[in-house]
Amino acid sequence: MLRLLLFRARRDRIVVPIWVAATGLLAYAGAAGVQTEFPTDAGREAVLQVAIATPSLLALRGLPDGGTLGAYVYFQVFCYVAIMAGLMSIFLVTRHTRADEERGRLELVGATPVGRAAPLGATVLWGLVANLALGVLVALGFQGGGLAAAGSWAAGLAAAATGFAFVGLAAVVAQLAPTSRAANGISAAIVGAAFLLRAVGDATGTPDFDAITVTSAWPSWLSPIGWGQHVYAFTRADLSPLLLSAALAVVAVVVALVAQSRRDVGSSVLRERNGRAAGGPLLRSSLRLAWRLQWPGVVGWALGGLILGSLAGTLSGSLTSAADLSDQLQRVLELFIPGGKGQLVDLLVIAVVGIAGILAGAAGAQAIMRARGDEADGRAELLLAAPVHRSAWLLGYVLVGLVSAAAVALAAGLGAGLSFLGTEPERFWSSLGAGAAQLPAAFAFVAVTALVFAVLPRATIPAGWGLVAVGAFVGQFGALVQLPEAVRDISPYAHTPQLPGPDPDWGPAVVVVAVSVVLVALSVLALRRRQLTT
Amino acid sequence: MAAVIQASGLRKNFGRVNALDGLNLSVDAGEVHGFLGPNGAGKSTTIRVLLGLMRASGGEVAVLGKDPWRDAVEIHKRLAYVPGDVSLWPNLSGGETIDLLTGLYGGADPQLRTELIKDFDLDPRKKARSYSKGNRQKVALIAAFARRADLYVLDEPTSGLDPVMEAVFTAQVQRVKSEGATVLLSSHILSEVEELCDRVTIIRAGLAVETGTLGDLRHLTSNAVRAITRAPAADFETIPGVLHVRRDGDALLFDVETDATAAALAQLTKHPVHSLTVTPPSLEELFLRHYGTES
Ligand SMILES: Nc1ncnc2c1ncn2[C@@H]1O[C@H](COP(=O)(O)OP(=O)(O)OP(=O)(O)O)[C@@H](O)[C@H]1O
Ligand SMILES: [Mg+2]
Repeated sequence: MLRLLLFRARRDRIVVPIWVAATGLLAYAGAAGVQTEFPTDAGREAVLQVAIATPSLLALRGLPDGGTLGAYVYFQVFCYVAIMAGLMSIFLVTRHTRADEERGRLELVGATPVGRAAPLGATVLWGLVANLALGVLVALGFQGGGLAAAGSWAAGLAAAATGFAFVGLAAVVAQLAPTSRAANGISAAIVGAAFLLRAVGDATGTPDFDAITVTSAWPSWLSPIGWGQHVYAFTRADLSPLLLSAALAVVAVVVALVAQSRRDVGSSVLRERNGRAAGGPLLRSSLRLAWRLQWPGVVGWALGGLILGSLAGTLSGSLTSAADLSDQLQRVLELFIPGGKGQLVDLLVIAVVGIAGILAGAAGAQAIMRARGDEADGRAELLLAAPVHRSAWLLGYVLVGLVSAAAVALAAGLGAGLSFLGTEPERFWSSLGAGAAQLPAAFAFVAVTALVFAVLPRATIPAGWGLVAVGAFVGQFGALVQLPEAVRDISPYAHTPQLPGPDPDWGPAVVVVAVSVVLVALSVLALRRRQLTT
Repeated sequence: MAAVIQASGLRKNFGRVNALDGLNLSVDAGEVHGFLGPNGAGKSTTIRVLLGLMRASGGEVAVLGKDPWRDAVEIHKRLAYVPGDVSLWPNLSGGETIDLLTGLYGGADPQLRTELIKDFDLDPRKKARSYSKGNRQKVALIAAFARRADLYVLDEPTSGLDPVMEAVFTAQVQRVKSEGATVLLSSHILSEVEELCDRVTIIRAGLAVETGTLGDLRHLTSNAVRAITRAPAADFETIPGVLHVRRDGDALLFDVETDATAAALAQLTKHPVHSLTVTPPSLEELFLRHYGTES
């Protein structure tokens, strides 16, 4: 068991430290940023009053609990820290369970004298260790950012417990799902659902009479992220909600262990159906292959976009749509909504669809990563030994990436548009426009990933995800952590036209598209010069 | 006859590793050419260079009269390939994979496709994820043989096939040969090589060490002689090309190189000989000699 645990730690010696460090950095940047931007309680209370008056902002951040520094930082960043912990945990679990099983590595281990439950047990333990490390870094990050020590450690514990709850859930999913891809997809959807549940619960919560704290509605209590929020690390420091996380984790792990010990290696509850005996005329080119491989994932991403987008109309009820904003409120809002100007409802649509823009960029970049996956596993050899031009091969994936990104972004726009049909039907088209406005930035991620693929093939997958993550962070938190303008402008999301709004500026977006086209052209040239690299 | 594959002085290095170190290879039209060598000798690397998947670091190479790096697509139209380590798209079924791969070349011959699936006993509905190694290999073989090509490049195509399937494979190679196609067959299975190949090239450490028909290769080596005779061993030790002379009771044993056969027989006939056997080296011996580090 110890040996298996160490083996897992060794395999993850790069990826887990990156997750842990990035999350710690997020905590540090959040704390330090708030401190310089809003040094006084009064300033922070003013922001909270705006946020509470427009509860949809709460959906994007968390539960306010007064204007003290720690409480305010916790309100701003805890949900995102928890998402990081959740994603790290689910990928970790799938990697060491279903993915190993799929590749036949579990059989190698299973043939050695270790118990049947040992690999899963070791994975869960390793997940616990990784989350504890993440918790320590989060605590150090908050403390380093100038927050009180006791609260920082409570926050770290909350992050670790939330992540560990997702370890348990992902372990169960890995038992059910037939493939690692399906397992990661379902588990990621669970993390997304946990975020959405608490978003709805927080936004529909009841403000207390002092108007700077909010008591969440019941949906928050269905979410492990919600439990973590209710620790209120810097004010009440009530650790009891974490018992729920721990209990969920323990129950889930037991269920997973029982399932593991009762089933055959390689089997799963959700069965994989047989496929078709023939490819049909639709599967005769590398472009169609790319699409065939990509579309099931796109459906998932697009559904996520649709649900996310529909939050806009659902949450807009509480907004005063008429009033233009005073300068001070405007400045506050910019912290919540990157580059936001104009009417509140517009800003809400921009913010919500903007998050879908990140999903769109990720879906697009993922198409290019599939080309790399084919190359690394030797499948590309089968394709490129056929009369298929390398340029056509790559351009097929670029095209599929663009279509995927468009599907996700437009689905979010559509979701937003539909959610306004009952109240403000005239917003339907402008919401779709907000979706379309995400395309230039998403294209940029497709193009950059393609260039990395052509020049540094082995770096494609880490660089692809990493760039999307950095772009998302700079876009969403750039203002909060006070990155200089020049740095923020590197993120393609900084140039997304602000739609709906009075004067969307398409100029920078056109530049982004032009640069992307050049990058794609360069990557085609580079790919034609390089040989296959496994 | 025109050479379908012509490589001379081919070199390929990965960093400081010289995978190919001046390899010569010539495959004539219409022949089945065996490509042999120990693990890591550079067979798969050569094949990747021939397919234009890798670029040679030096030397000349032409496939079907064209440069494989520059004119890859033109060459590929006339070629079929089975890689040594077949990896498929896990969520495509076998049938879909076959249609995808043949579709890239313009489509399979439907009748051949049906026959091959039957002969190779493949369930085309199963997802590639659930295929065994042998079944993945079959998918690639069916895709390769289900359309007519001028050149078949097969990299260890039968590793993982059971003997019945090997027989099906052998029949397919014989069919495409009878249709006039050229086959480059890399293999470790000597019975297969002996049955199918017109000529073989043996490479070691990135260099061709021998090329020719199996008969030629045997010719270059020595035969084992066993004679029941009283002739004194010492008479033979002095003949150049006669080796390992020893006695075992009535039997006199020695190895003789092809060129020295006449001299050795002449010496034998000076004494009464009750029985005589001359055994050519087995294929295994032949290859072990070439694969070994001493040469
Ligand atoms: N992409 C690569 N990078 C570095 N070295 C490589 C690469 N591909 C092959 N090699 C090296 O080149 C040499 C030849 O390998 P190759 O795969 O061509 O051998 P092979 O003759 O096909 O062996 P086998 O019989 O095992 O299939 C080996 O030493 C191998 O380690
Ligand atoms: Mg090989």
